[in-house]
Order: sequence, then structure tokens, then C-alpha cells
Amino acid sequence: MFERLIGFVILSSSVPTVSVNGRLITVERGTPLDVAIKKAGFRGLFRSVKFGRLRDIMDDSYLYPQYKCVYVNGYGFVNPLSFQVEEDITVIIDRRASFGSTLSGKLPFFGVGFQNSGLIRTGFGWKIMRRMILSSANLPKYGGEKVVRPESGRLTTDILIVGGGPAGMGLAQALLEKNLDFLLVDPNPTLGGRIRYALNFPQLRRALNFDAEGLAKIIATRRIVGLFTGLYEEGVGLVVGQNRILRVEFSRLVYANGSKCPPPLFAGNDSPGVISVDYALRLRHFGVLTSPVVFYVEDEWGEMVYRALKDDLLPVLVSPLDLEDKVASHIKQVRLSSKELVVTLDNGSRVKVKYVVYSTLRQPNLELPAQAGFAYSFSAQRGKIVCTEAEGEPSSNTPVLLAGSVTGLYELNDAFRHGRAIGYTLSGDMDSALKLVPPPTVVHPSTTGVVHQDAFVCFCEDVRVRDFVLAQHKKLRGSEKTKRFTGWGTGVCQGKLCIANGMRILGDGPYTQRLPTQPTPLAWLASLGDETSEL
Amino acid sequence: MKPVNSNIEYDVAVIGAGAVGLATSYHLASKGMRVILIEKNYAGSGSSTRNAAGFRVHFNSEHNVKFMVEGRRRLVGFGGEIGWNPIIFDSGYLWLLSTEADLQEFKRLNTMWSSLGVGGRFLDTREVREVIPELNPQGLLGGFYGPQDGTFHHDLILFGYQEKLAGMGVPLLESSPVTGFNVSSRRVRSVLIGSKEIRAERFVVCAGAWSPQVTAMLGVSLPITPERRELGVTEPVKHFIKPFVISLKNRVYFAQGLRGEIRGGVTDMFRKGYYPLVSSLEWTVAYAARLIKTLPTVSNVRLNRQWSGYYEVTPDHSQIMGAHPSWPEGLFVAAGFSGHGMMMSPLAGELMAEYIATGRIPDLMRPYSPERFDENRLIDEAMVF
Repeated sequence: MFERLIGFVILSSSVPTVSVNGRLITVERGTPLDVAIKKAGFRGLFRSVKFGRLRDIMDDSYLYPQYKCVYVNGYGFVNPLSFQVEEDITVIIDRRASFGSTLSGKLPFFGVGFQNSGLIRTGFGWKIMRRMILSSANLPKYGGEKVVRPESGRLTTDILIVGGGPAGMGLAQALLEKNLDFLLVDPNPTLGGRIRYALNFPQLRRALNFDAEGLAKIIATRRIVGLFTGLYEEGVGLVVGQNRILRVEFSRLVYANGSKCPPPLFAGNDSPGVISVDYALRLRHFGVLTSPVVFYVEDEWGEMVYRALKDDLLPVLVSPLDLEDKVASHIKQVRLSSKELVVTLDNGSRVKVKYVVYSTLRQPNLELPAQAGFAYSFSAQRGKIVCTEAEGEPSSNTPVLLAGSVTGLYELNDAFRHGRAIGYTLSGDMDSALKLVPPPTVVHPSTTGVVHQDAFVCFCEDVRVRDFVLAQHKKLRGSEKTKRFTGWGTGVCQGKLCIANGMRILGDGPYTQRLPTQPTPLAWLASLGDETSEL
Repeated sequence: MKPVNSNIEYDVAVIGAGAVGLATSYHLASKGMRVILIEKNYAGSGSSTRNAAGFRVHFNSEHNVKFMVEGRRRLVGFGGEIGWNPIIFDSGYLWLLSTEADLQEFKRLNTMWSSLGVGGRFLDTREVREVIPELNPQGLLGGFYGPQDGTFHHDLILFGYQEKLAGMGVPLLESSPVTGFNVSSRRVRSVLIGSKEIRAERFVVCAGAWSPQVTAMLGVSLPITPERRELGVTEPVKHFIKPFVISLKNRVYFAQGLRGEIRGGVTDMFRKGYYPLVSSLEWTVAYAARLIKTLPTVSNVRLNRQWSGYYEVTPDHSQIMGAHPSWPEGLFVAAGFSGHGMMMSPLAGELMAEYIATGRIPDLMRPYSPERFDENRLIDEAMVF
């Protein structure tokens, strides 16, 4: 069990250094903080523990923009959306483990969903335990720090596109061609979504069937930098980011917010250095990702990245797919030793590496569309979550469409075509739209074969596979009851990664999502109303 | 789920597997009755998983105080009886008082509460800030602290009953919306779930806000109106709010759970009717502003999730328990808890089961008969948040 690392605190905004475990590191403006910390030889992963969790920087932390400022004293030091250092800062990373995190390594029931804690089931000693929990919880204390009041404003458009990846770009291209009024919202400074770092690699750029860079330049005038946090009953949405909260009004909304690959379910899937393929591209771009590396590949995108980085990194390829240079079909376990990861494969062999890069069958970013009334189900054959239909209670009367891989159906280049098709649909040009409907994609076999009891399903709430098994034993079946029993998917990431893993185990869905999909400071929300004048 | 043979007769069919339906089924089955529990969606899917999970004995009506003094014992004893600790936290309720009128009203009420053994304490502004130093003292006159009140976790009540019922072999039919009833000679004979027919001696409607829709199939109209309310929960922060706080002036309430999350809502924003259970920006903005106004220190804390649910409101903000002479025979109702169903459910289930098994109305349940609306014996309950 590696030493748990708890939190980081920004102490000052005047010194251009980062201190990692007492070492001071200079961070140039514009450098992502996670990269700076990695360059200092630090493994950036912070285990969260129920009752005492702090989980600030993870290897995949760019997927969780909300973590970047979570427990920092104050806001605005680090851009919570790009994780880039915009002002000179001092960061101190504290190695003290909390009582809760110490226990969680030793007692199996601690650090899992609190509902199934063995301690509190009996009722015996509950009052004492409760006191211990309350006093030990290593949670951030609030109060006294500077409140950054955001700039608040309003925007109005006809069509709002959420997401600036391949699908969003395809959509924008079609809408520009048809001269329709639209705005595109995306949290990253660079457009491109999952391909934004891929564009720096010639081999990957060649594999794309569209001019992403050219398009990004054209779309730039129509974009808002920020995160769309959901559609409210009033038919309006909020965009949060860059010290700004915007109330956006629109008559039509398209979710083109893509998909993510959830971590595979082998033991040790939460170890530092176990990273997604998209994050690997980011680290490689900044020169941080170095050999030796294991690639675990379940989909075409993973294979494309593997082929693009192969000559440089000489990675070991592990895949359930029929690929020519693979060495095994699955990873059984990843164990962290002091300097490296020891990876055990299902053929019994072991390799020592710095990084395990995974590319699993992608999970649609379903938190927004599910909240808007779209239903998803788990396709056991494909091992993937797909959008089935729009049903249930839509959150407003605003028409909402889905484009690209958020539907769970499309490969990378197909996402662009699908985005364009939706764009033509919105303009009423059905002939052009129909010509672009992507062909059915190759069906891969499900890869749920090896599921380890100790594998993490949900990182925010510390839910492991064994917690799901316990829920089954308690006859609490189905996604809703499992969610309530374990806490799966209710954490600050709002299920951005864990829903697919949970559904792979349960084979069940859909799953209710709650607003706001991006945790938003209360002061920011309050700034939108008239009641603030009373404050 | 056990296969249901439509020829099998049950003593009681309970409709609605929320907290009240689960508790009623559990107590009926404990008495050796053959029970079946029918649920439109999944157990707890209505209002039982959507509430703020507070419990209090402090009500405006003496009947409700007596009910919850006993109901509190059932909640506290739940872990011992059912084997699931519902994370009872005797944190107390803290009412923040800002006007002389509010203070006088609480003084009047506290006389009644004291006579029933559940008096609380009046705190001056300094004492209030000793409980929560971070509170905004501006305009604060003082507070009323009810130490008998507190919070719990609703899911554990539901899980506990479900596990018990499964162990006792009580069928729980989920995803089974009731589509009708068969009535002959003024007696309910069976309940229909599509083409499936379930025959029973008695039928207890515990369908919360949806109860009027169920009884309407029998031509019975219940004075229950759904009110959509909203709730929100923040990211976890270090525990610093012990009691469940209600600010009468700012019209906001909040509590902090053991996970560190602050949950709460506003007391005066709701929509009457079966409005979709979605989230409104109006609520979000109002809640955020009022919470900050009451507790400025939370300005940077981030709202993580919000959701909505129905209060099942009756004209006197108190539940309907029992049967009415004008109803078809065999029909019973335990619904209309007006926002207090979760905290009352363990006791309500026990009383309903006793009534159904023995035919005698338990004393605690007597004031809640459906006949009170015809006889104008309404319960004087105004303390609804």
C-alpha cells in the first residue's frame, strides 16, 4: 500500500514556485500544474477516502476539472478548466494521512461506501464512532478565505452546442455553411476535445478525415470558454469558468460533449501512473510520458494512439482485440512498488513500467443528456453504453439533440460526420444529413471477463467491485439501489467515469443525473439573482 | 422476485413501497399476515429517497408532538430491531429567530412542548454563535434549540425494511403500477397490475403523493395535493454545523451530514401539482443566496447536486391514516404526511399494522382518521418547512 497523499494548499500567490514535499519547483506561466508536478518526479495521485477524503490531483485529473481548485485556499489561482498556472503560485503538498485514510488501508469496511460500513451496522459504539469520524475527517475547512465573486452575465443564441470536439466541430461547420446563429461552449482553451493533443502527432493528424485546426480557427469567434453545467426547468443553461458565470438562453440545444474511457476493472486500477489514452497524449505532448509503458487497448482509438507512439515508446501491448503485436488479453493486477508499477498479465508474465495507458470502450458523457431526459442502456454485447431514446421527464421544453460519441455509437471520424448530419438536420436540409449518417461501427466483443474485487468502480466515493457484490448479497439490485447503497456515481465527478464500470457489472441502467453537473460555488450561483443585493 | 400466482390470496396488499408502505408491510408480516407489496417504480423511488432526512418532535399540534415523541423512539430503536443503523444523529434542531413575534410564538409552543416532556432551550445571540460561530448575527434575536430532534439517513431505513421483508418471504413487486381494482358488493376484491390480478382481504394505499391517483380508481377522492420542493447538497467540507438549522427570516434550512456535505432547501418555494421532478434555476439561485446570507462562510463551497420531490400535502398538513365509512370496504390509506413521512414511517407502519390486524384504532393514530375532514376536526399544524 503506497503512502496516501492528502491535499495541496496554495499558500501564497506571490512566489513563482511550487513546493512538492518541501522541494520548491519553479512553474512557468502557462505550464499545467499536473505536468509541473510530474516533471518534479512526483506521482500525482491523491486517494480519496470516505469520511476523510481529499482527492485533489490525479493522473487523470484533467478529466476532472472540478478537482483543480477544490480544496485550494481560494479560487482563481489555477484555472480550474485547463489546470494551467495563470499566476505565480506556491503549492505545498502535504503528506500527512488522515485517520480515515490510515484506517481504510487496514480495515476492509473503512473507506468504502459509508452505508455498508460494518461498524455502523451494529449500532454498537455508534456515538463514539461518529465522534471519531467527525473529528478525523480530513476535509477542507471553509471560512475566512477570499471569496472570488465572478463576473456574471447573459448570452442569447438560437442554437447552443455543448462540446468542441469532433462532433461539435462538425456541427459548427454545417451551421456556418447554412448561416445559422449558434454558440459553442467548451471548457478547454484549445478546441478539439479528445483530439486536441492528438493533433500534435503527425500520424494521428493524418488519420483524421477533417481539417480540425482550420475549423477551430473559424469557430473561434463563436465559442465560449467554460463548462455547461446543465439545462434547467426554465429552459436556460449555466456556463461556468474563467471567473465567469453565464446564464445562456437558446431555442435549441445540442449535446456534443463526447465520451470518456473508464478505467478497466483490474486490481490496482487506481494506482498513480494508470492513465487514460487521452491523458497519455497530453503527457506525451509535454514530454512527461516516458518508457517503459504498457498499453491496454479495447477500441480503435487506443490502437491508433498505440501505433502513433509505438516507435518512440516501445510499449507492451495488452488487448482483448485481435491485434498482431499484443502479448496478452488482459491485465490482472497492477501493484505499486516504490519506483514503478508491476503489471501482472493474464498469461502470468510480469512487466515493470512507469505508466499503464488504457483505452477502454468509451462511456458517453451522459451526465448532461441523462439529466435532460435521454435514457441510456448498457449493451452487453458491445460492452458499451448507448443512448436508447429520449424518455422520462425532460428537464425543460427546449428541444435537445445529441451528436457524436455522446450517443455511445460512433468512432472518432464518425463523430465528425454525425455532428455535421445533426447540423444539417437543424437547418432543415435532410438530404445532406442523410448522406452523412455514419455506417454501423465494428462490433467488438465485450471485455468484461476479468473483474477484480479490489478494483475501483467509483473513485470519488471509494466504491470497489466488492461493494457491488455486497449490495447484490443484500438483494439491493438494480442501478438505483446500488447507487444508494454504495454511493457509486454520486460524488463530485457526477459519474463522469464510473457509470460505465458500474453498468458493466450490473448490466443495468439508465441512471438519473443531477444538476449542476459541474460543482459550482454557492457565491457564483447567488450572483445570478436579485437576492444578492440583500447580502 | 417471487413469481406471483393470481390464485393466491393475501391478507393484505400494500400499494406503494416507500418508507410508510415498507414499514406497514414489515409490521403486518411480523404479525403473521400474508402480505404483498406493490410498487409502481422501485422501492423508495417516490419521496422516500428525496427528503432532507431530519426528524423532530417539535410541531405546532399536540397530536403531532405526541406522535413524533413515540416516532422518535422507533427511529432510535430501528438499528436494534432491524439491524441497520440509520445513522441517527441527535444533532438537535436550531430555529433562528429574528422577530419578537417569532420568539413569543416559540415561547407559547415551548410551554406545550415542556408539558409533553420535550421542552427546548432558548438561546441568545451569543449562545447561538457558540453553537455555530460562523452564523451571520445580523438581525438575529436568538434561537430555539430542540435537543430531541436530529437527522438520520433515509436510505438505511429503506434498505433495512427491504432486507427484512425479503427474509420473511414478502413479495415486493417493483415496476408494477396499479391499473385498477375489482370491487363487488361494495368490497374491494382484488388489485390489477395490467393483466395481473392480485386478490387480498385488505388493501392499504401508502402511495404518498400518488395516493389520490390510486384511490381515484375506486372513486375515492383524497384531500392530498402534491407540492414539488427542491433540495440541494454541497461538496463535503469539514464538519462544523451540528444542528439542523432553520432560519425563519431567510426562509432557508440546512444541515450537515456525516460525509461532510451540507444539504438544505428553502422553506417557501414550491409548486402545487404533479410538476415534473426537475430542477429550477430560480430555486438554485435563491437557495445559494439565502444560505450565504445565513452562513457567509460557505460562499466558496460548491453546490454538487440538486433534486426535487413531492410533499404530499393535506389541508391540515397532517397525515391520513385509516379508513372512511363511505369508502369501499377493505380500503385503507396511510398517506398525506405533508413532508414528515420519512421520520414518521417506522411508527406509522406499526400503528397501521396494529389497526389492520386488530380492527382497533390505536390512540396515537386516532386524530388522523380520514373522517376529520368531514367533521371539521382539522389538526392545527402550521410548522411545515
